Amino acid sequence: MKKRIAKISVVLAALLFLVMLPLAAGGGKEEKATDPTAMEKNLVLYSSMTENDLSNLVRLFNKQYPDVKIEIVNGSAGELTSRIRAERNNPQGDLMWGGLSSSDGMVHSDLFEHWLTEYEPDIMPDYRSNNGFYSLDHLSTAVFCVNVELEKELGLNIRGYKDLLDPRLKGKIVMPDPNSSSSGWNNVSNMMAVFGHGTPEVWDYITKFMNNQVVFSTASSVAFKSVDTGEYVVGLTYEDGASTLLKAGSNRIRMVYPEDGASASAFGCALIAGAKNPNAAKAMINYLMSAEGQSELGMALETLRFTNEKAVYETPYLPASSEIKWVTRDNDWLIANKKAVLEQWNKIYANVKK
Amino acid sequence: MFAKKRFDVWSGVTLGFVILFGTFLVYPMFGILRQSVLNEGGEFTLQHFVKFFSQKYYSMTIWNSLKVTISITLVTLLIGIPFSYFYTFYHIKGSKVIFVVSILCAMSAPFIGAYAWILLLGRGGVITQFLKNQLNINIGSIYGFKGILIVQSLKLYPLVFLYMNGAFRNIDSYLLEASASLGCVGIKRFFRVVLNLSMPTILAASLLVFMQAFADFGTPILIGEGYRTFPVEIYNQYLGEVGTDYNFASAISVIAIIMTALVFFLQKYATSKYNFSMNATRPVEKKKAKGIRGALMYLYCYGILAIAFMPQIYVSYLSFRNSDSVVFLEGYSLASYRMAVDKLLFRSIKNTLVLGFGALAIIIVFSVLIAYLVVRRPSWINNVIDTLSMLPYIMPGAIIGIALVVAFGQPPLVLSGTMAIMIISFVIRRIPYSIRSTNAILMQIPISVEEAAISLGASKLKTFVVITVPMMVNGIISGAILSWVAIVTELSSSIILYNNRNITLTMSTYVAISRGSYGLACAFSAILTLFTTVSLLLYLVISKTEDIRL
Repeated sequence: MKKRIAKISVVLAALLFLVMLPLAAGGGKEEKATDPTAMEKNLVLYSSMTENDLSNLVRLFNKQYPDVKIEIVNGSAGELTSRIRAERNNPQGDLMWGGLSSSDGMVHSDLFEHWLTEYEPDIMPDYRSNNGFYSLDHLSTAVFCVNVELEKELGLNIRGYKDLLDPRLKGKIVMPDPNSSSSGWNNVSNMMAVFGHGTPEVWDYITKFMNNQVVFSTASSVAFKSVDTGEYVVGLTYEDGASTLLKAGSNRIRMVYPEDGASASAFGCALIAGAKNPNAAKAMINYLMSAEGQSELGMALETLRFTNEKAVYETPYLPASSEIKWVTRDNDWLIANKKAVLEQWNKIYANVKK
Repeated sequence: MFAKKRFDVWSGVTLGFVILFGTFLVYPMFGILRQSVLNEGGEFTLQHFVKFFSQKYYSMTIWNSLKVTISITLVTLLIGIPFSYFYTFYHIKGSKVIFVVSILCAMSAPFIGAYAWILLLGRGGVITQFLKNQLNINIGSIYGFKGILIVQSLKLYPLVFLYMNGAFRNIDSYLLEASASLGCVGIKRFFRVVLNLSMPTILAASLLVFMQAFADFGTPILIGEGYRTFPVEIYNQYLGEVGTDYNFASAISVIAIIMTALVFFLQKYATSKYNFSMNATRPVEKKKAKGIRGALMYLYCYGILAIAFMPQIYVSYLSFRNSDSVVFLEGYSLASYRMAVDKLLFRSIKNTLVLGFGALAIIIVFSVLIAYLVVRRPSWINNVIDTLSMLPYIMPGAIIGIALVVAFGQPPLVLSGTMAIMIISFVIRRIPYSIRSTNAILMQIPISVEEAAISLGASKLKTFVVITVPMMVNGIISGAILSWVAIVTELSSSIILYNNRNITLTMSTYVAISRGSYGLACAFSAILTLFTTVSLLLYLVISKTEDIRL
């Protein structure tokens, strides 16, 4: 009798434990393609790009590869790279597009396959991969998105950085948190380029800027969408985001390229290490880097500047490059000092917030 | 004879739980603790704690959280106690409606409320714009401390209401009559007698509100703006761009757990001062709400209710408006819903059902078994299991999320991105509440019936299945509905664990909101609201009850 009970109880205990195991196995099953070069039927794209960018990419890519079903996981750059890191032992995504910037350096070296397309020589020399695994396909210039109605109401004419210090803008400027958003960091980088990398002048400006009670958002899209809806007067954002609103027909906003100078970060795509659909992912990266792909996408988007020298497209929603005053960024300095800059940034923030 | 110690079926169950809790609770928690005192090279260090307390940028998050949470707790009591008093002691027409709508508010995902309030009262919100353009009134900003306070108070006051409703009904009318005959009536009696008698419940409700508000992630991230709270900070540290800092996120988690543990023990201590139990021999009879006082009561109850429920109605209304993903346009259509279909709507619903029912089944089985072990077979090891099961009560969801990712993101057991890890997190999050209620139920069931069954020759297992469980069923079901809704609207740990395969309806909603796709976000919110409403109504119809245990 006693033996039987003991037996039953051991079985029960084992059963309890086993409840979890089938569940654990359920998620991980993936069909492996038999032919290693064959195109897979699915593709999981992690991206921080706008709706306009993504829907056009999917449509154009599917025209060439109609059998690949694309799934998109949308999120901020930081969020997505953290997910990729967390999933390292069981990768769920195949490639990431957007938010991966030339200023990242080797930070994510272990997350991505060290692989580049054959189009690399066609890319403008300044924007060829600087780490061996980011394929830099487009440029993103830091701009201000300004709500024209509210600007008029306040009697302002916003042209450059000093205008952001106007007390009438107190609490009415929004900027993505550079700690979590790539476009936030893009804007900090531009401040560095304008006022001097790490100089007392730039920190003096940043202190005054934060003292104007600038609001920091986690998501970068807030910095243009909420300006459009009138939540804020000015958003520090990027070309592609703000111009998408113009393309959608908004007459409530205008884009301002700071008169003190504008600069761009190159952003790109990369193949996730251990991707389950590597061939489809590579096909998409090839498409994004090729002159043909960039031309098609450029014509469809009308809001993005690309990096392939041979790409031909128009950007009616962006001003011509010659109309903008450009300043040069010291990319190596930014890579080397990112952590220190953000620490200083956070210190100033804490002091302002009290 | 029943409690005799020897190896039997129940010892096996105990063993099973020790293994399960060890693997899925203690091991991940230990991981967090370990991570918090390691540096990048894997050596012991306290640098993360030093960093947290020496840099105001970080330490302010905890104080901010405490400030806003304490305010929320006080405000919910201020709203909820009078609300409940009127409801319990007076005949208010439409009390069923009040009851159901209140629960619906409590069960809605808090970030939907935050989102709706932004659409209504944000700088560009409809009400703000109306007041500004038509009446030239500038009401300022809803963001920050104020916004979190409003959203959370309106969501959480129903918890106070439900708790207090139970307490007030247990007040013996003899006690009130006695105090009246001693000259203590009206407001004076309310404060000196009624409130004192319900103090244990007030404390219990406060703790529940505190824990939920303290750990909430969705509200502050949407409406907090510059008001940085610690769950958002943990999330930022974990998902931030500048080299994810697990170690620092873990350190913040440890600090947060210490805080909640302190509050927990403080509440226990305060409760011990009010050690009495009530059971009304003659409950208080409801009075008619008449005259101006009656009118004010109606105004109060329905006013609060309308304000609390408005966000959900407004968002549902917007889901039918045309939009171009950035702004709402004239005219109505189902375009937002069509867009939702493209954005994994069906997978989200399927996952929500699978994960919800899966987790719920496990929670029910576990809590019944654990209740049996703790109540019927007390032993030190079963008490350890009981205590362990309470641990998640003081652990904010974001921390559970991180703990699971850290523990099961690497071999030997890789679960990241699976359905399993979601179920585990749901079970962990909900089990303390569920076990409390099953324990309470079982304690009320006399042991004699089970002893009779055993003395008639039934085995222990048979007795449990055929006698004990059926007696517990009613209580279990009423607890299950709350677990169900909590699971369905869970955000703070899912946000760290989800991906496109195991995405839930709540996560899809949150993603749409955070990406700023307005129409889509409203459509998902409306579907989620419908989901919880249908769950609740189904439950009320099937169980034919007007009582919900918390």
